[in-house]
Amino acid sequence: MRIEAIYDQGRLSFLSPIKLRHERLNVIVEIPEGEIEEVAAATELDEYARQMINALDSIRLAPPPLFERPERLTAEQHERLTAFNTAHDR
Amino acid sequence: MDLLLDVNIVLDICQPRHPFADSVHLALSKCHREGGRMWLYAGAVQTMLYLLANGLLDDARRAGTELSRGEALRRSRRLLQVFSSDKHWLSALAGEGDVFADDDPEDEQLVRALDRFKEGGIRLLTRDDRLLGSCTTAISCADYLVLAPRTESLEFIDLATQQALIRPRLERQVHRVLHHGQYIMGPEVIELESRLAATVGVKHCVTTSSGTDALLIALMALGIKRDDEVITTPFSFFATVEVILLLGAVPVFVDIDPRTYNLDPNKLEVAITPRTRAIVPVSLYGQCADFDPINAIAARYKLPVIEDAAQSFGATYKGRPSCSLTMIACTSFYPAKPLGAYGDGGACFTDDDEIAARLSRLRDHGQSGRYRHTEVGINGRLDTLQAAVLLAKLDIFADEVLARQRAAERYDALIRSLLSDIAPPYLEPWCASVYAQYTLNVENRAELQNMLQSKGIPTAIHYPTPLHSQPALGLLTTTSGSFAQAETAAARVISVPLHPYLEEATQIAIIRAIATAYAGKR
Repeated sequence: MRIEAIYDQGRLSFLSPIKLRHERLNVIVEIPEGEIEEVAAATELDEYARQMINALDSIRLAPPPLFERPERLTAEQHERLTAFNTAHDR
Repeated sequence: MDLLLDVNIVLDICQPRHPFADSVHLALSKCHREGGRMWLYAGAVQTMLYLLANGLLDDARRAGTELSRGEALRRSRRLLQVFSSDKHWLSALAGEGDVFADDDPEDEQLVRALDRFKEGGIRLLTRDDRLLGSCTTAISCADYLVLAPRTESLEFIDLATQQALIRPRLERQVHRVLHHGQYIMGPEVIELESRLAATVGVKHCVTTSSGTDALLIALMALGIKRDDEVITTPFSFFATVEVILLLGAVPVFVDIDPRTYNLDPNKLEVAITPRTRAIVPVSLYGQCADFDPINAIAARYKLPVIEDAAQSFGATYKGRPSCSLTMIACTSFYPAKPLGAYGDGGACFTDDDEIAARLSRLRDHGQSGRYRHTEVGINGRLDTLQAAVLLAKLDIFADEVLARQRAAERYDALIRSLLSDIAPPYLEPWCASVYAQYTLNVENRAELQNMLQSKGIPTAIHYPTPLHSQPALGLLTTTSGSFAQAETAAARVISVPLHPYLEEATQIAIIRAIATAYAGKR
């Protein structure tokens, strides 16, 4: 369920009154792009998550190979990249 | 509880996509912490790959950095390889192909795939509103994070962990059989027999439809007939004596050694009469019977010995493998056995060419050629599908035997340090047990069993009634003699969970529970 809320100095208030089953729960909040100054690292992630983040970051942040020829896409791969680019966001 | 991860969940982490990545990480950590398995749908590989590559290209564009499409695809492959390394692949089945009538074929595939799981055993973790609204199994990260952990019951034997480990090989093997269609005596049966014979180090392996049929045709191959006497133990599963009785022969019981629960060689010779035709010692709980003295006595009287190795395939006796110690050996591939199929199965082993040929005929209606029945046999062949399953399991069997032995050693140490009233199972110094069962000898067994059950710890009694006291024997034959050790064992033995994937923490909890029960008695 999507519901509008106001963020006011660290607190979220729903515009319409709503009673939730749990005292505390995770919600996803959409913040307008221009409002974000800095995203701090999550503090609650455990060792399992951190290991995965580190492993994935090391691939993502690695510079492309300097002396290897860049991988060439086949026509089929080109076609698929384009096709999947038009797919809806997941 | 397991989780099937929707593509959006995979991308949230691999790309990563904020603000979703953190809550997905928290959800996956919770699943990992609670012992759940995380599944990725194999049919979604291409979607994951190309959407991730596009996501990386978008991110690079937004950040004003340069990233070629080829490099984006290469990184995506690497990211997915790392991400999937501790996940399980859920195969796409034929029934999940015809989904084009659905508005969202990919979602429909996932929904259909979920149908394979036990109810309540899995949730589909997704951020897709349509799925969250239409599929009761779908769950968002937020809802999953506040979900109370499901208490998984402790299994006596954990076949699910083993299956997860060998699933790719298992599925390939089974599908291969479905495609070639040789369901009876297919190539997998021939391959399995050859590999089993090599594993044991004998010339011939003849697989059968069960361990019971293996014993039956072994006796038939030796020509055991009505009124012949066959010496065996009174402390075993009923099949050991059942096959003797089925042939009209007379079981003659020899009491057990109270330490090993196996036939006592010191009591064997007095049981031999002019009508004795064979000796069938059982290698109970995974420890071989004492075959050197048994074989020596048998040789003096020119009697064949059949090892009932239903529980001991994988064990050794003085460095020699179980199933290679006697004229014929018979094992079982019942699912709970150290090497178990997904149904019934068994095998006979022998070095004797003539006996092997006869065993092959007997398991196949006594046929020596197509529709030429030279003797009366049984319908006792191993199904090709079961052979396919066993081949997949055989690949990891040696490692599993070591894991069983390590688990038994951990139990031994815990018992010595925490229990003063109970000793670990006795193992002859020349034996390496495969620990088909880890069996304790206790007082007040029923009380202990009830108390462990109340704590969710499963146990089993192998076996509560000695064979000579089974009602069926009363009807068919009579036996005489004293089997005091078998009777005592039947009243006192109790087996606790033991399998290759048993964790030390679980073993500590089990032995502590037993210690608590006995502390209350003092």
